Order: sequence, then structure tokens, then C-alpha cells
Amino acid sequence: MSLEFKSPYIREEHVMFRQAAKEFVDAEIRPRAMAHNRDAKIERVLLDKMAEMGFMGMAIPEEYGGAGADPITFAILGEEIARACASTAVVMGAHGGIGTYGLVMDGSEAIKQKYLPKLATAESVGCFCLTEPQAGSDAANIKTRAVRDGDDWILNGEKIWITNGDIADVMTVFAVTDPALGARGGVTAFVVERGPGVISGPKEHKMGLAGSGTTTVTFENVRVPNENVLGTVGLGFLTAMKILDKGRLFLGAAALGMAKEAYDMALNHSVQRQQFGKPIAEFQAVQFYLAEMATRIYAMEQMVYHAAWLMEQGESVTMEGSMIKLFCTEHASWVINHALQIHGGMGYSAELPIERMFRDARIFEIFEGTNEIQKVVIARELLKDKKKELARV
Amino acid sequence: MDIVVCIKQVPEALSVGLDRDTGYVRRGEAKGVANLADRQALELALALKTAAGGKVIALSMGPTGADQALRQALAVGADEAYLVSDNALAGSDTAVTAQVLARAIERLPDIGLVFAGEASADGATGQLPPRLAEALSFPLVVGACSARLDGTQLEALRNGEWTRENVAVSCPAVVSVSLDAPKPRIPNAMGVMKAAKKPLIVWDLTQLNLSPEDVGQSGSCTRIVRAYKPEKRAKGEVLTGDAETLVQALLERLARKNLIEV
Repeated sequence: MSLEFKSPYIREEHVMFRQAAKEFVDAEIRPRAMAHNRDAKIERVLLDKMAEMGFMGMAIPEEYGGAGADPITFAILGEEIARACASTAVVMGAHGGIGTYGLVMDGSEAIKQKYLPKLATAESVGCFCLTEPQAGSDAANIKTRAVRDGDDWILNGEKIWITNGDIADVMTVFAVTDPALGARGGVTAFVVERGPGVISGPKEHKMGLAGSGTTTVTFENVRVPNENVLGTVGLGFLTAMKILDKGRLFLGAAALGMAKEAYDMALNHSVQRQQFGKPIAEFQAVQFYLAEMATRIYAMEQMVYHAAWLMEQGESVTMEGSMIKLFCTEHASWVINHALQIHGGMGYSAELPIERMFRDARIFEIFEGTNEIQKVVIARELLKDKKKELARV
Repeated sequence: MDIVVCIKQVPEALSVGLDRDTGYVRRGEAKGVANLADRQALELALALKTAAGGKVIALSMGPTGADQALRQALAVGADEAYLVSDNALAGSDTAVTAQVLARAIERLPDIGLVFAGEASADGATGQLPPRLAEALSFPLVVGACSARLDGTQLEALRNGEWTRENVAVSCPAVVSVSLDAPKPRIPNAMGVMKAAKKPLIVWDLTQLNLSPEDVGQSGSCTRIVRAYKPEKRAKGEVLTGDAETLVQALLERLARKNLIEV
């Protein structure tokens, strides 16, 4: 029996979807996870199979060929895939989450019709290009430049740490269109197709997430038609923040899935592994670890599905999204670390997936806004209302 | 013509326990899933849908709310789903269940084929499809692994006693589907989203013109006298050594049990 707490936000179709996702993951992803890590790549055929299941177009409305899934369903998928293979979850999230949200939320009808159906079938792969060498946590400091040239824009600049940078062909790219205004009215979001001048660097050698390709993407005099502007010229930074608000929920869900998997493994191991003539689950030290793991997972799960429900109601989840990213990613690492401890030497062996999960989980505390930046966002939201209140006095 | 697929919601094997006093499965706490052979039956039916030119209708009998298996059927492509549910049905045996399902099928117009899994994962009597064929006066194919429709004639490959047989039958017919049939598909995200909007109709006994005395324990001809766990068999003994020692040791043991004379 696996750890799943009842939640008022989970409906009948969600239960069925989780079951279906589990079946698919067991048949297609779990058996490949070791190879993804070893070969540092994900087989293309897996992305096609995931697309057949609707997993590559979860956030894309039905009329554009997507699943039109609600945020709760998407979170369930993030959980179930990350249980077996965090690399696959991250490739899917960069494609169907942050690589797609911009087009769905701010794309013109022409952009939606042109790109969304191909993203839904994974004929095109998406990615999100914001980070630059000098613009990590300081995302407003991007230097990639887009200059108007007749009906087009000419893009120049370098993006780094781009998930799917190796395979993506439809990129959500942020560039400065008015340096005087900067992030406050001078950044624009573009849909950029892979083509002349779009150059991906070699895959980074990372501590974890070996299966997911992370590269630089350089734009050298890339010509982008004006109709590929996402939303309004100058308001791209807002688009970026809206996308990241949503993306954080998916990351939290993925972290939750990894924590649950690690807990399940630790629990199974602790009742089977005998030391001093009895299963180690009989020792209070191990029991306390299990109790604390389960408690943290309970908290994570309630947070994730509450915020997913808020998102479904159309509410802003800026603060909740950051809280989820902060809390779930830190506690996932804690849970996995202690699952490794319960496994003893075997936990450190590459024969079991725990050491991989331990490495994979670490980046969740860093990417898509470091956890320190999440605290900045949370504090800003907390103080915003107080400041307004004081201003009125 | 339309195709009906009978689907039973069974307790998931891993989540189920036995009641210590009665020996019965504690269904209340178990997670309900669609019987695997029934999912395979649905898979064959969906493959025949185009040739049949009608709808695929999922049908189940069970307690109120036990409709997850039917929702799953809708998610993989069934067009409609019916749940026959009535408190009086509790305790029905296979004979009653077949009668009830037959009544439901008779209410549906233009049914050319009735598919069902060969046996359920819980009761595993394998009686339902034959009894259903009898109740409907339809011919029966047992243990189909694949099926093809040629007009109103169904050709099926079935598991015979020792061989595989190609058989043909005229529609309307009942087909029980073997676990050797192709694996069922997993519902995709689009299907799950759509299933929530498809009709799932609940029928009770009055809608089937049946009275409570006809069904449940009172209508059933079988009674479960006692349910118990099979007794544990003695542990086997593993013999080791080279062939000659092994044969010698084996002969000694067989002789000791008076199974052979040495």
C-alpha cells in the first residue's frame, strides 16, 4: 500500500487518472529510468508514447489537440512520473508546463493554432529560455536583445541552463526590447522556432537529472516575425512570472512524488531487513524516521492539491506556488536522504534508485527560482498588503 | 448494431483482506478496479466497433457508487455506461446476476454482441457468460483470444481444451474473453477528461421489472455454507548433490511413503 492521503480536492476522475498514470509509468517509464540515468538521455519513443497518453499536452486545451487537463490532474501526473524518473518529469514539465503555458495564456490565436497541436503530439518539443549568465536569481537583468527590423525582430544573446535546450524546437524566449525600461516594460516574450542562428551548446554534465538535457541556447541574428510576440511588447517579464507561478506547482508535485517513492522503498526495506534478529522497523530510530517522513509527505500533499485547486478556481497562486516550491523541494530532499539512511549501504549503491533520487532531488531546491528567491517572493506578498494598509493610515 | 461489454468491479488484489470470522473478502476497504479479463473484452469490443457500426456500451451490476470500472470503460472509448444497482441485489449468485444483466441487455435496442471476461478475478466461477447466453438465448463462444466481424457473423479464435480453435457464430451472440486476449489499453488523459462528461446511467430493479424476491439471496439457488482459507501445505524439501545421490535420495523418500517398491 502506498502512502496517499484523502483530500477534498481529489475527484473521481483524478483517482482514475492516477491509476492510469501509474499503469503507464510501471509499463513504460520505470523500466527505462536506470538507462535514462546511465545513457544521459531519454528515448524519443518514450516522448511519443507519453504524447499518445496526452501527457505532453496536459495544459493545452482540447480544441488545440491537448488533454485540457485541470491543474490537479497535471499535478498527479507530475507526482507519478517523478516517482519513477525525475528526468522524465522534468523534460515533460519543461515542455508541457513552462514551455507551453506562455503560448496557452498569452499567445495569439494564430500562435495557438500554429504551435499547440504539434506540442501536444510532441512533434515539437518546447522549452523556456529566461536564465542568462548574469541573470539567474536576478532574472530582470537579462541582456538578450530583440531589435525591430521591419515586420520582424532580430534576436541576439545567450541563454543558459535551458532544460530541453538539446531537443526543443519551439522556444519561449525572453529578450530586452527597450533597454531604458528593462524588466518594467522593456522585456518581451517571443515564440522562437529552431532555425538558422539558434545554436544549442553541448549537454551540461550535472550532479543529477542525467536523462534531461540541459544546454546553453545562443541566438545569433535570429529573425523572428512580429506575430510571434507572446502577449504585448514590453510586458514579457509579467508573462515570465505568470508562467513560473504555475510551473512551481508542477515542481512541488514532482518533489512530492519522489518523496513518496523514497518513503515506500524505505518502509518496504525496513520491514524486510533484519538486524539483531528482528526487522529494523522494530527499532524506534527507524520508526521515528518513518513517522517524520510520512508527516512531511502529508503536509506536502495537502499543500500541492490545495494550490492546484486554487489554480483551477482561477485564483492567483504566486505566494502559494513559492511556498510549495520551497517546502516540497526541501522536504523531498530530507525524505530521500533519510530513506537512503534507512537503506544503509544499499542506499548508497547505484543498484537501487535512491542514490539517483538523492542527486536528482537536489536541483529542485535550485532551479525555476532558488528557494531563497521563493522566500523573497513569499515575503514580498506578505508585506505587500501590510504596506498598503500602512499607506492608508 | 451495438456491442455490450459486461464489466465487473473487483477488489484490487493488493488492497484486499479476508474477514477472519466469515472468511469473506472485506470489500468495503478494498480499492475497486475493473476485472482484467473484462477490460480485455472491452478491448476486443472497441476493435470491432467500426465493423459493427454502432456503439460500445459498458454494463455492470454492483453497489451504488461502484462505478469506477465503468468510468474507466468510458475513458478508453465506451460510448455509454449502465450500472444496475439496487440494495436487494446484495448476495446474488451467478444465476441471478445473469438474469439481471440479461434483463438490462434486453432493454437496450439493437444489441448484436455481448462481451464479458471469461472469469472474474474474485469469484472466478466463469459461469456468468454461459448463463447469460442461456438467459438471452444467444449462442456462446467461450475463451476468445481474438475476434473479427464479417457482416453479422463473428469469427473468433478461442482456447479449446488442448488446441486453439477458429469458430464462427451468428450475431447476436455472447463471447467470453480469455486472459490470453490482447492486453487492454490504459486510459489516456484526453479519455479521462471526456469520461467525466459521458452519461453513466443507473438502473434499479423496478426499471428492469424485477422484484426483490427474484434476486439477492432469496432469488439465488446457491448458498455459501462456509468460506475458509486453503490449508497450508507442508513445506517442500530441497535435495542437493550430484545426480546419483539425488536419484537415490528421491527413491528412498518415495519408498518411505509407499509410493514405489524398491
